[in-house]
Amino acid sequence: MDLTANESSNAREYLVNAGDSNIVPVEVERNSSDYTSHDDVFLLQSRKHDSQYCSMYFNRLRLMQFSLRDAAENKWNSGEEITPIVDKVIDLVEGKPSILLGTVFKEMSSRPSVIQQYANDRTVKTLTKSRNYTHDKDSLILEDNSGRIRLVGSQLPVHKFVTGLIAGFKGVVQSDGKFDVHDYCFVGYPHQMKQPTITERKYVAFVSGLDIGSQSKNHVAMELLLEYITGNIGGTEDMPYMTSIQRLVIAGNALMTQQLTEGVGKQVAGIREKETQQSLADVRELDVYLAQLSSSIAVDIMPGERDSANFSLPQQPLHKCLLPQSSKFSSFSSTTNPHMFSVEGVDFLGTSGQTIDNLMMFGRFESPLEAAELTLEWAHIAPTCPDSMSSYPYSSTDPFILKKCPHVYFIGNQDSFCHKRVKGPDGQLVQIVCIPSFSQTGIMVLVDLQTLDCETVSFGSI
Amino acid sequence: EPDLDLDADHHFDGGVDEKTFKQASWIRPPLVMPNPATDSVVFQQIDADYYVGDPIAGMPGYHGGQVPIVRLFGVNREGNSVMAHVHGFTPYFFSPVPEGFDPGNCERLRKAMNAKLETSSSKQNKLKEYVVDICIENKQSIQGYKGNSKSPFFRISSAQPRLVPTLRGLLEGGIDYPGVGFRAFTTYESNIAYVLRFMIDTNIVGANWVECPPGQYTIRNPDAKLCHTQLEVDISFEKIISHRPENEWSDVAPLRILSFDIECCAKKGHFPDADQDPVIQIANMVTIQGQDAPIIKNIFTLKSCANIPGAQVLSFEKEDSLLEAWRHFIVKADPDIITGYNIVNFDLPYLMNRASALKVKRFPFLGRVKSTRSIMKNTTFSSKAYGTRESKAINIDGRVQFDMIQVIQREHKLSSYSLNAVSSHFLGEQKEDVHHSIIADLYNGDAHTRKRLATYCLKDAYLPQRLMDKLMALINSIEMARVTGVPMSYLLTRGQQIKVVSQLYRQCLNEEIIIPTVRAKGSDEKYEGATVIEPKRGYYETPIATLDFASLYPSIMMAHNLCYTTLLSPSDRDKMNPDDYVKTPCGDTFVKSNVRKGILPRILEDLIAARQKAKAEIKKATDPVKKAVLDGRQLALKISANSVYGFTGATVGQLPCLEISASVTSFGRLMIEQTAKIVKDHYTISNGYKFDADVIYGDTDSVMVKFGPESTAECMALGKEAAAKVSEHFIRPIKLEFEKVYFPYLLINKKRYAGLLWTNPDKYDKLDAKGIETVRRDNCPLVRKVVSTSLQKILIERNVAGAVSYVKNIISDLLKNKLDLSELVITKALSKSGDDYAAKQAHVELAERMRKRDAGSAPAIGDRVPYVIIKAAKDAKAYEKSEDPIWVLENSIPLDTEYYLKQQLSNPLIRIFEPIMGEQQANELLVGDHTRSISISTPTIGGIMRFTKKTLTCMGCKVPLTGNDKTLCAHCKSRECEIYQSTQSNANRLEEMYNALWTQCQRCQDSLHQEVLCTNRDCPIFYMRKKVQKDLNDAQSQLDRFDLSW
Repeated sequence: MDLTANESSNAREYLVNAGDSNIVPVEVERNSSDYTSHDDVFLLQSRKHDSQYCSMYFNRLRLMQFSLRDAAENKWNSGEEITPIVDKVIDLVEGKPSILLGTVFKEMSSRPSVIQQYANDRTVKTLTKSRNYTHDKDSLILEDNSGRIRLVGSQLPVHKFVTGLIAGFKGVVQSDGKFDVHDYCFVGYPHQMKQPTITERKYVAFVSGLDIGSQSKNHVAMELLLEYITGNIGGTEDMPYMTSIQRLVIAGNALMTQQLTEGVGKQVAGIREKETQQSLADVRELDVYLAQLSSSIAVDIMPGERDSANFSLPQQPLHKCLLPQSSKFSSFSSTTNPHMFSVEGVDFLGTSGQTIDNLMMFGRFESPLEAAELTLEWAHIAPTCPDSMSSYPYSSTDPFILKKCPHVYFIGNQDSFCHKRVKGPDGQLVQIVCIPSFSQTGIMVLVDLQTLDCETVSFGSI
Repeated sequence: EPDLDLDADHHFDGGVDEKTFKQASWIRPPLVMPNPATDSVVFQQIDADYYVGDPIAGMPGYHGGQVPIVRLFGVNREGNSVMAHVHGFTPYFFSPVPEGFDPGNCERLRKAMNAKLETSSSKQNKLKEYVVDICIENKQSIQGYKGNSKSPFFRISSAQPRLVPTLRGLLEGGIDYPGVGFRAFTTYESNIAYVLRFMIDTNIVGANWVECPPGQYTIRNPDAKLCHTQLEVDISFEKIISHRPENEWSDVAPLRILSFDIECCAKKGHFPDADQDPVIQIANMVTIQGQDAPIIKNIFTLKSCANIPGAQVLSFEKEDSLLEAWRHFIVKADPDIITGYNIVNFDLPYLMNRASALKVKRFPFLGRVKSTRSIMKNTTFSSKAYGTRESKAINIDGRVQFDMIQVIQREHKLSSYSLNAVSSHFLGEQKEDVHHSIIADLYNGDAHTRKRLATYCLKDAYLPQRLMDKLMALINSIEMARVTGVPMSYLLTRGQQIKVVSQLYRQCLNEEIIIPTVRAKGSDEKYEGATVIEPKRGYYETPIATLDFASLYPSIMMAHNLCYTTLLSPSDRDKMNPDDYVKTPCGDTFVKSNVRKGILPRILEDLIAARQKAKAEIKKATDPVKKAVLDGRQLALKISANSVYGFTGATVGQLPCLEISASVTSFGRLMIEQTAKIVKDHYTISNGYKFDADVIYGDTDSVMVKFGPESTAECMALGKEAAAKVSEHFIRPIKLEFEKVYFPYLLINKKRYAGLLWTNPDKYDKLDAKGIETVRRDNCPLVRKVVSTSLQKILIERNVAGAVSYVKNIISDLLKNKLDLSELVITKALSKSGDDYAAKQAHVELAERMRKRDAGSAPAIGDRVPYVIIKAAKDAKAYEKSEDPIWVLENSIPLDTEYYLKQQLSNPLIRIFEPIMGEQQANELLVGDHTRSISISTPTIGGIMRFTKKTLTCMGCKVPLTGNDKTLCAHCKSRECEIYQSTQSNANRLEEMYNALWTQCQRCQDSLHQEVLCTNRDCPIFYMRKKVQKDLNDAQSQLDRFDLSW
């Protein structure tokens, strides 16, 4: 498996060139493409929060345990020696080697206690991104519907696990009632559709983190992006690219919604009014921008953590009243986050980044790519929902279970561009792509539908 | 008598067999049988009692009939349980010998007394002899200084301890003394418990190590054993060696501690009744003192229960089998200490009553003595220090009942003693709380729901043990018993006085002084208490030094030799040289120590010297357990020293002497005044100091001085200097100490102040507040929070303006209904049913109303009732305005924010802010601009709502919508985006909270897969969890009004 660095030889750079008058409008004939959205699983029919989170764990285990059982049988019981799979934690017998399937819970000593926080100042603090809440003394517990058991074992990489994972463990219950783990397994990569053969060169473009409304947003880069997409800049050598881009996916954080000021008094009311006006102006700016894009290309906009959408995953599409101009275009779609779709038979799945950011906070992974790769092996794209990642309390399903392996798995709002092609045991090939924040880097990522190779186009002056 | 042979096989149902009970981990380590000729038996005794039995040949004392025999129970270093029969100690007391009595007539007197008792004794109480010996000894009464001469006293020994009170009555009523005639006398030392008397005379103190030396004891063979202990020996009281708890004898044996909890299944809406409601689970943890983790964790369940990893589950189909098996477990596991939470008043009585209802005959034999049945009694315990409490007493011989609720009630002042509140306070953890109505559902479910209950029960069984460890409660009690000499069991069942009595007797024994038995008169005689220098109220922004007298009252007693034995009567005083006595400020006279050293000063000196020694040893000690023991000891010593003064002033006490206590306080007052004067006279500008010092406040043993300088360092230097200077004016060991500086300092009133406390000039130690944060339960948490945050802002941040705006914000939020409900909840315990209360009370009325709504979830007697005050008709009585917080949340009932502002917040806030900003400005806090905006929630039930019709209103301007508009009116349509955004952002905040709170509860309950059931109303997030769910659903339905289709 190769990990291609940021410096792709194919990357093109469009730097600001003051007084450049060579830009000539060119009429671009864009190839139309076959696009299907698979977001239904993430669309909420009702938003009533009436169910407790336990149903989600119950269903997660229920829906995954058969595949997990298969995975465990394959891994450990295909030879001579057979280790029995125990159905329930409470049926374990001391001293007898067994296989146990269940939900992982990670006990984390440096995780802040909500009760403590709330008792102190009656607020619930948002977890700090970029902070890591793990501790060397953290430990794992396995739970199923019957009970819990503590997992120990010198070979157990505690910090490669997070709460909410469905996993299988092989080991022995010791006299102290703890389960000594010798080996573990996950469901593994799910089935993948055959990669289609595409004769023409076609691309899907990704950006994330336009951050309209933030200090760091890059006006010029955004303008260049627009010009590029609409075919107004770039040399003739760029034309094939431009015309081959089938779709632009904005993977979250198009906006940088401000936290409204809290307080009393006239002064604060004034500030609040100003903030509201600013935020309205930001939304209008986005709307116009998207309308311009949509006039020449199909655009998917996914909500992200700073957008004006709901907080919990799955985030629901940005409301059309926010985007009255762009929503008039049939080429424009406001989508969920996570977003699942296929273009020309190539399956895409991705998030605006919160799922992987959360894993980075509650586990120890070398890079977001490693974390993302593991989610494929776990067959679950957001195991920390709902424990540390806010989620809608589903009562009868868990939409984050990975039922079909995508060809392209994209993660929005990461620090830098990187990608990695990974291979599953049954030959599943997945291109994992981290889309960097546009406002920070000015980078757009192109995925070649023929080869699934990634390229970048940089508009950044940074 | 039921068959008590424990070695016989028992058959328990539900698959639990005798094998389970023989598990190696349950029983004590095997005993290595000592050789009585060469080995000694050494053990730490933890409980002592006596029984009446036949004397054994070769033992001292009376042999003419049955005699008392002391039983000492304990554990040796190897962890074996030991019991010693200590023989030959005869009960006795003293009585004055009348003038003219011929010592040769003692035997005649004895016979005469025996004859009297013979006629007055009932048939079953008749003995061969009652008084077994009378002799004359020269002793001195403790009361008053009478020179050093001794006078003759009868030492009257009785056959049995129960005869002592009878004999006392006889002598006090008057008898005919041979050769003298009819006389009546008070008796001496006739009201001390036999076991304590034994311990005093043999120099055994509570929980110390004792030794039966080789060749001096015999071992009982199994047939003759009376107890379940592993080793049982016989020894004479003269041969048993008591080791002073020092050096190698200061450690603690590997005691076995059982911590348990029971669950019972009551009918909905009722407190469990042992006659009808079954005990469904009993969880047990057995821990060896000094070890981190329990060695036994098990749970006895009625009906099946799924396995619990790490704990043994013992299931029974029949409740009587469960109870019998549990009793069997107690005997096998053989705990020395039994702990739990409220076991003395709930768990144990419930088990006893239940066993009796089910006729489990073997059950009430929980003690170590095979033939002794445990019996339950009602007792009323009354003490000045602890108040009056009704409680149950159950004898479990040889095991110490160490109920953590009693320990905590005695040693800590808390607003609530529920296990929730206590574990949150001391362990910093919330505890999952399962409501009793849910307990029945879980029990009636299946093996898994019962397992859910079992894991909960196991946690509750472990909490008392964890509290004991965290507070070092057992270690501290052992040290207290050792210092004061009383058995451990006295510490939780008796008051402060007995500890002083024990020390007094021990000291008197050495000096041949005896103590009269006085009848408690309960006089109303009062004496003047400590003085208070009138506080100069205000907010001080210069450092204030605090000068403290260290152990003031003990020091005064030592310095002036104040004691029963040194008190000089006015008539005797005239015969004395004025240099030999001291006249106290209230006019009493005491001889000086060169004439005669008092007993109380001697006790105090010993205590204080021992405390110094313990403190010095703490510094040397490296082992944390040893440090803990020593710290427990120095604390016990300090408390004991302070209780001596109280003992002399307790008018209902065993030996009140108001001359002593009044003299102590009068000296104290004088010294506080003198200190103030010396400081004020010396630290003046005219004496070369930069400022004139001012004494701003003084109380009991401390004086607050404003020296003037702005810097803490300078103030500390002056404080130190002044303390040394003032100390010169007083007799040793009275010493004024400089300990701390307050800066800034807010002096509100007598015993009410707050300030930042500094002990070194670089950094303050903490915010110290006295008498301000009212922990009274009829205050809601909001008050505590506002007061403490205001103080923090004023004192730490030095930001008065910040504090003011903080308070205004809170008040504004309160009036706008934006505060968290849990901050407004007031809690009171429901102790009796409504009819029994004379005056109507808010929480009782509410409980009644709740019962009418749903008998199942209504609070039962003994429960704590949380309530909030709601808006009601103008002339509604206060008690009618209480409501269940959950009901309020669910029905959006408006709160009476006015009540919270005026009745709850107003006074505490004015008290703090008035000294700082003056009366007028302080009042502004409660009436300014910020109080103008008010929002009231619209109730969904009752009253006027029945006559209303719901109409959608515009989300922008609230005008009623017409036509097809569902969201906004035509006028507001253009603001759709803005209104959507703010609706969305409101819902987002709630979504985030919903997630944070409900997942926290999953983590707290230790399960992801099971529903959160907890109803712990003491938990800070309990109401919010509920409220956020409701608010979020409301917010979502607002959002749903925006057309979601694309």
